[in-house]
Amino acid sequence: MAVHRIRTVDLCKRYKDITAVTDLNLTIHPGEVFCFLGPNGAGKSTTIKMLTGILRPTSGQVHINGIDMLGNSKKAKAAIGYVPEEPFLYDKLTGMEMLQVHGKLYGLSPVYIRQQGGALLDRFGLLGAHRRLVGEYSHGMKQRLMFSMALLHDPDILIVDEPLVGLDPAGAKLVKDLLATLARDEEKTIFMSTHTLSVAEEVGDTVGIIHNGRMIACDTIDILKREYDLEHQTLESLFLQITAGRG
Amino acid sequence: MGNVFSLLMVDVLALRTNVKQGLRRPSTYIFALFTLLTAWLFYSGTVAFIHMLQDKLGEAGDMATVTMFTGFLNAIFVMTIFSALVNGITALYLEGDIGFLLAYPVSKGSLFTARALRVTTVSIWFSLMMTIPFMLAFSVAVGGGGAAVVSGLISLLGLGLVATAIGLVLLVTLIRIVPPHRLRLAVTALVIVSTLVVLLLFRTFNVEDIIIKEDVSALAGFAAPPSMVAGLLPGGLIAGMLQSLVLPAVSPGLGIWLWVLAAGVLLWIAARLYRPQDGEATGSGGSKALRRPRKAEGSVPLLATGGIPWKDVLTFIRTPQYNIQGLFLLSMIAIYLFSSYMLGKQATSDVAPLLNAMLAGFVISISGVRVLLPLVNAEGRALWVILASPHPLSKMLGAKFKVMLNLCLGLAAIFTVSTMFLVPQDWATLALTAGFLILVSLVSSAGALLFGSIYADFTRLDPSLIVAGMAGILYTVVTSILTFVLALLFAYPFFVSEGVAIPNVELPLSWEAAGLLTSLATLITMVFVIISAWWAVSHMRRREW
Repeated sequence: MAVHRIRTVDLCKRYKDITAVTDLNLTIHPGEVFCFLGPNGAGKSTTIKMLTGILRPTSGQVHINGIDMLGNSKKAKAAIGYVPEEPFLYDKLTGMEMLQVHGKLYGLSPVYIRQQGGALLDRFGLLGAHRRLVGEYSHGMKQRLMFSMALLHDPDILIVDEPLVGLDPAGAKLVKDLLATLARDEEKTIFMSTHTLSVAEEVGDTVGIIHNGRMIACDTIDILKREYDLEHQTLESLFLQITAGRG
Repeated sequence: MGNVFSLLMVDVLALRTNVKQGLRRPSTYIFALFTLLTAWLFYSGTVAFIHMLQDKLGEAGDMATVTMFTGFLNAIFVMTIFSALVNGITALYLEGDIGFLLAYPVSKGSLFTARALRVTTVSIWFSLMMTIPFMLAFSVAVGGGGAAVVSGLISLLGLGLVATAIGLVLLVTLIRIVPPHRLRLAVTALVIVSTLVVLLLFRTFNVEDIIIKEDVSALAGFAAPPSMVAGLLPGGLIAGMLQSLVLPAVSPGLGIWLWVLAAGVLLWIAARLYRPQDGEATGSGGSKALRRPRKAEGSVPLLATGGIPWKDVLTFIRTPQYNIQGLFLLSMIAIYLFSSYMLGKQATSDVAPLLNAMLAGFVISISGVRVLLPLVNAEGRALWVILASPHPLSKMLGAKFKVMLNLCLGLAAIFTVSTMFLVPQDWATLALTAGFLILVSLVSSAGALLFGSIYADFTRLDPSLIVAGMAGILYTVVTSILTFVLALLFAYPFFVSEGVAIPNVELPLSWEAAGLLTSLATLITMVFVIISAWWAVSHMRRREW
């Protein structure tokens, strides 16, 4: 059993002349909520795409549960549940059918998908809408459906990109509680990219701040605050101070 | 009009980007060369055919040429109306940005004009590409020189414009008068009517009477001047106009420009009738909050649930744009069955089974452009679901290929079974028909996988865009040529099976040689399938998401 759930070694991604991510080294442990912060265009989404195996790195390595993503992407991907920032789904499938497609891609049995899927839809308040087409769902409903999909195969790691965008206050509370519970009670690792710094402060154990493709700070919030002499300030002040004057 | 240009900027910029990206790909130049070569082959083949008719039949040959040309143009005319209808539904009602644009100070007239121009471009460029070689051949054959070529090309644009205007006014009227929940039924009725019209026009294009019977009465019937109605359709008018350049006795057929004038009026009417918010009625666009929640229509209980093919079938059933593509497929089946029935009447002919198999093969190949080609693109922005899963991309493409192949094989089975009843033949010939259709199914599916993957644009879901784009034209050119090659290789085995000598060729008939040729056809097909699959997978793997 690997002691780390996510580990990256000198991870780089270049698009022709543009370097999106440079020498990213990360280690995230079981039960840890890691908040990935950074200004727009800093390289957060590119990093997430490399962690989830959607994008091939230019150089460097990604290890998920000790498994090399490039060497055995099938096994590595099976350990991840992913919630992208924009809820693009198959609009002509119903909520339950969406779970069936997703479950089948992860090799789950139809009986398991029905039982576990029903429980997840219930947990996210979608049971009444499971026979409606996804195209008719609101943004928040789609977001909650994506969480159901991400948890269906019971992954060790949950990677979420801006999880609270489009959610109403009740939905946002549900997601925040869920992330905290998954990490605390089920030892799941949460990798969350967000611009909502109050949420990061509320649920995060560690934060990583990326700027122009480079990790410029990575530690627990308390240590970082001490380091920057901002012990009684918010994470927002810390973030602005760290990123200020870096172009 | 200022708004129209602003709205069109989006299309122009997107086109510029696509062209730039296309020019950077070496494959574009290979395919462009291939397309030009094919166009030249079509052109020279048509010129040779027309000259043969003129040499052998004299004046009757000229008349036969005009009839064929008229029938061809009229068929293109009807197909373009159909195409405008399909493209118009998305561009005018279902496109995701319609609701967004309505928030701008843009009149619905400007929106209609901008979208009508887009529909016109998308609907006619493919038809024009297919028609230009024939138009040039005819213009040269009638002897009109440069004037005929220029007039012919300009009048082709007129034909496209008229057809699009008719398609758009039909669409806008239909959506205004038909209750939302009956729209699918109304479109079905419209497609059935269009199919009947195509069938009628198809018969004016019937060449097998000459080939099979080779008698004067068939030729006289075929070459008879077009009826009053057919002569007034754009095809007849264009043919008349080109003839009038060299034959003063022929009326100049300027009626085509009256048609163009009428198209302007039709577009004006359509702009008045257009209500962008009617997209709500189709159940696909606009605000979700305003719609009554409904249960999803259609399910596929017999198939194993959850897989990619299952998802594709459900999506196909529930998406209006795909439904229309499916209806197109049905209309092609109807055309085949009708033609096959007519061919069956020539039961005395030994080449009837071969012609029947070729016709069925081309129907499968042509249907693929509308039904198979958009399947890869159908993943749209939801592709991340597959990319992030442990399911390899190659398996996803494999699943797509299976869906395509099963669809084609289903068609092949329908055609083979109907052949048993419509075109009498023995079991060996029937087996050859089935074998030929299986190979054509493989070629069509592999072609759709290849070009559907290379030219996939996952940000746009509209199937008509990929059909009308470079992918559509390359698919059509490549699969048509391969189908033709397969038909040539299968021709000899058909003659062997029927036990008759090949006309005008001194060649002994032997089953060994027939086996060799069918093996060669199979080998060519398998090589094409393997190359297509490899190319599609490696291209998708190289893409940056």
